[in-house]
Amino acid sequence: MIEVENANKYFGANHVLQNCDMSVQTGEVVTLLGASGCGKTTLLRCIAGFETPSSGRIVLAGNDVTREPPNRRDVGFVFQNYALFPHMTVAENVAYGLKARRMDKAAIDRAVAEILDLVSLTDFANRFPKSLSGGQQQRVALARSLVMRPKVLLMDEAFSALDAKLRGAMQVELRKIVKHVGITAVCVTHDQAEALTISDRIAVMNAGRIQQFATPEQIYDMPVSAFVADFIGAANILPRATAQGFESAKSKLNGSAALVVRPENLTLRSAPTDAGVEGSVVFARLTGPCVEYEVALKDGTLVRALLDRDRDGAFSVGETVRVDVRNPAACIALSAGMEGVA
Amino acid sequence: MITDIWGRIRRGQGIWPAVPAFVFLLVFFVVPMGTLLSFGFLSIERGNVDDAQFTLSYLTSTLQDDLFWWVWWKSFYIGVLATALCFVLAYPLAYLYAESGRTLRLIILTLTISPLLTSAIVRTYAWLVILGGRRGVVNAGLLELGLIDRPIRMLNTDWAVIIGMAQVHLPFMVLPLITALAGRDRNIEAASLGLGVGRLATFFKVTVPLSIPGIVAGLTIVFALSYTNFIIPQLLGGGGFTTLAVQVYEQIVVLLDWSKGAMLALLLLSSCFVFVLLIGLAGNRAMRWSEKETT
Repeated sequence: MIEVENANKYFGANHVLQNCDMSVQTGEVVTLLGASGCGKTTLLRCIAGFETPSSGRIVLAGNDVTREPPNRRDVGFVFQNYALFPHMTVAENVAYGLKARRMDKAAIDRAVAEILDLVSLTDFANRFPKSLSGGQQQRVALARSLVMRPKVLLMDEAFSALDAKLRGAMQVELRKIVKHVGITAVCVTHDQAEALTISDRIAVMNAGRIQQFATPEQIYDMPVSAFVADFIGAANILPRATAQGFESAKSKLNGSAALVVRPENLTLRSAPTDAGVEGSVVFARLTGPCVEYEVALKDGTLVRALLDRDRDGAFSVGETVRVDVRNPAACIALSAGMEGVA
Repeated sequence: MITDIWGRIRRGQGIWPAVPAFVFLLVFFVVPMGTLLSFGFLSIERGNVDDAQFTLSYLTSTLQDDLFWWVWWKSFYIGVLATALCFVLAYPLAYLYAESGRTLRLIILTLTISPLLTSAIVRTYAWLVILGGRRGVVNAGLLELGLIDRPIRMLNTDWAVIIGMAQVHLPFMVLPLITALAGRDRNIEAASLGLGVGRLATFFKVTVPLSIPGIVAGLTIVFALSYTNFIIPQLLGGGGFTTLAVQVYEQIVVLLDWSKGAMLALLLLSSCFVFVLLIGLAGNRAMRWSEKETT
């Protein structure tokens, strides 16, 4: 449905998109995930037509739309601040685009009523946006886009203006609505939890490049770089020299440059044992059922270990412990050049 | 607002910061203004204010005078047309400002404000030179180019007054419009374009409605100034031209009929308040979406 082919974008001397390639299937929900300034919003705006790539192509449903203006692309765009028309009621906001298509009034009214029902805003049809809560405004923005029946729905940080609790509920709600409508959607976020909730596939971006484009499970279990491993969930990136200290994980290391070990895959033992590597606890943080320990290995590397309180017992700061890998198979080997986190 | 202030006083919260301005305005504005306007209800014999008697005769005779209504109509339509012309000139300029980069913005702002550094009277005299007879800039230019055979009469017409007012009051229209347009959220227009509405339609359906606060402010200020200005009609309108404001000046300064002049001033001032109020009410109606509570 959406093909981004070798897209590059320069803002002056800034190379904000670097050879981006992405192919989104019909009905798929894809998230562009990355820190601010990584180019994710620029890529989204290129797909929408608010920006034109400096080189490369954007193909929507088989049509090359690289040079087409936004209104000729058949895409719906939900802005970060929703960009509702403040001087129009909810119903007028939703009907706005349909009126421009010169649909007859009865058909417009029917379409508006239907979509407002879908986003549970029927009772608010005659209210102005200013009198709505953030979550309601967001649903108006969504309805205003969906009512046009676009081929593609694009959303720019659509949840960042909501408070934490509402955000989670709206993400679930959004995924249900989008799947119900069956539309292809591309979202932009810097929030990994949001990406995991709403996406079929995630494109992790860094410094203008798409580092990995895969399902949430693949990204968590098989990150291609230290950056991706660190961005989705927490990760210990052990350089080759350090990783070789762990007898159990040595085989996994093979010829690679570094090893990614998730904090929950590390274990601590206080008993005198030869397994693992010696270190000392420098910090302990309670996270509910688990405790996260920060341990300085004897070569100076800091690692984080997430331990179950009941199962693994407690350790105090300053205590000397043996650190070991629980399940060597779950470690991820990174080849040379992929071990940087920035 | 009045109740707010009264509440502050009763709760013992400070209104002290407002006291100097209040005293100043009381002594130098409210008292003299009240004195002048009160003359409209006093019969004054040979400038002797002390023995004056209360009378409503100036009010009734003025309101029954056809000439007064004719002059009022002249003031009103000159005010309306000057405001309209000013708006038509100012909106594109303010829009250009909002769309420009820093340099062009600075140039527009400087050009807009710099006329305020010279007196309005001086600028009005400049219009005499531009619009004036055979040797005025416009006529001389047109004659030179052979576009006309003899000078067009421009000075001493309604349009001379309207053009002069529009120019002199332009900054007061441009500045509030700039404030409204430069600070707007461009994503709202992008949203309109994204929904398949063209640039021109987006401008009229989204940009203009959202600039209503600036439009109301500009219309209010420029109408009030144009409706009550007496220098520009006098200089550019010629001897036979008169408006209410000109009449106030002539009654008080030339004919020394203070009571009649005061009554005209009172009527001019109060009608001006009414129009300003009407513009404000229309603006509020158009802006009802900005209120938090709606039904």
